[in-house]
Amino acid sequence: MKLIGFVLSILLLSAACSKPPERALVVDKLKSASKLATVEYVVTKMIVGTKKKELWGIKLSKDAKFMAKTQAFIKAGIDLEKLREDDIKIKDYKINLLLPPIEIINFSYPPDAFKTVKKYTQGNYWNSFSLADKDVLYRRGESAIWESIDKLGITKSAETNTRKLLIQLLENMGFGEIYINFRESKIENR
Amino acid sequence: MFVYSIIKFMKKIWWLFALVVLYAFFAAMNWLPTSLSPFGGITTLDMENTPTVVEEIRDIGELITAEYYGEVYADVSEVYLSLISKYGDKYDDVPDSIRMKFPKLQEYIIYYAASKKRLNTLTASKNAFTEYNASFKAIADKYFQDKETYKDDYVQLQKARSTFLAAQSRLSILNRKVKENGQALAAEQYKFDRYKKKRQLVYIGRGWVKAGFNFADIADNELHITSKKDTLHIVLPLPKVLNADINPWFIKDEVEGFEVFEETGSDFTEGEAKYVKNLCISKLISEAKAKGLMQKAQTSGYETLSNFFNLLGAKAVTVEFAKNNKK
Repeated sequence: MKLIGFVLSILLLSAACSKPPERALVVDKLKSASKLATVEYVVTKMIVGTKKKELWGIKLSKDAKFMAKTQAFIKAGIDLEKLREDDIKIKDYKINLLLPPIEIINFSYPPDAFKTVKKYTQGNYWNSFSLADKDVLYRRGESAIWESIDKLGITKSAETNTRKLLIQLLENMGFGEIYINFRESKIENR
Repeated sequence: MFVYSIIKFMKKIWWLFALVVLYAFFAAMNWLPTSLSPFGGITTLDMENTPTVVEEIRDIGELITAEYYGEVYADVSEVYLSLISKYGDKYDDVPDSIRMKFPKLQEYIIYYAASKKRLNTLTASKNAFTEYNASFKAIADKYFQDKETYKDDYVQLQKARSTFLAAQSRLSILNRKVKENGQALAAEQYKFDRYKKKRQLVYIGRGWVKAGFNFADIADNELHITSKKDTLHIVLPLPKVLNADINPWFIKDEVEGFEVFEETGSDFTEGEAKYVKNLCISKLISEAKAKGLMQKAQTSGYETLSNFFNLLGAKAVTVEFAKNNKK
């Protein structure tokens, strides 16, 4: 009986040691913002996953496959809160602006934009993709999109559009000679 | 002799061997939780490295002036209830497109309708009891009065008494019916709850709602910037929700956006999961609005534009919000 107690306590201990989700990090917060988004990129990413069940190299079940076409919507622009007084130089009808760096204003990877390709998605009783498994793949997909954001040319497009928008506005305000530059941007990988 | 004693010993602890074999079998089939399995890494999930393709580039002009970050949750039962409130509790009235996405809707409606029927019966019996109870009070008062009046008239007294007793008996029958209907409702609700627990999907969602002004939506005649020397007057429409997102990640590699909190039953369709997730997003928007997101967007929009134009040289800036949002 002592032995059973020992085995059970080991099992219980190992169950108790599993890591709980870090819910404390989530905040319930309302705050002010001053972010101007000037470009939106719609990007697609195919999610292709395989779920294997093996024990010491021996397959326990046929591999399960999952394929989905996903879309992300990325908005970029500038944070006007980062604009300082000495970034603006005005002399008569001439204005020189040094704008804050381009940053990602919003990243949206909505569930409605995930379409499963049923033809290539397969599983069986022993091995199939659960909803949690699919969520793991979507998370990896999101990380992969973030990794490639820098290479999409979003910074250049956002600079061009912001410049266009502000020139139009400043001309309306009566400025005749407008120079706009940006601080060097480095898209942060959240 | 030695072998015999080993066999004797093994016979004594046969249950331990059975336990080990059972544990090994469950572990090999990966039916144990990861924390209990010695082969935690037995299941591997691989993802192919596919390219990120730019499909479209849109020119936009959005000014975000307020943000709300929060956490919500929703379950599949709430989705079914919202479908019932939209299409009614008759399965025949539900469109085929919805039936395909929600294969268990018919079953759910049966439980829901049975529970609702019981509730209606209980309400009706409660009303009947309350109504009769009011008239019973008058009958009882009259009986006590008659008892005094017909003190010496045995026939009248008996008549009054039998009227009172009949009323008392009717009231007690109605009361018993209320109790019986209450018990029947509790039993039906228990069945319904058990059914819901057998097939449950709960998502926790963490995300944000951002509000502000979309300049692209505003027609030329709706955005007024009147510049008179150093004075600027701007008329803007009311702010609106520009983004409401719960992504797979809330904070990359740290906090999940959508997290399956409970998945009981494995036959959930993609449609069901999507509806639960979208319900989370709708709840997040409602929560953000209730916490004052739109008011914050308006006051912050005023401050942002005033500060921005002041920096651009305008000495006096007035921002006015149009009372009616045309878009």
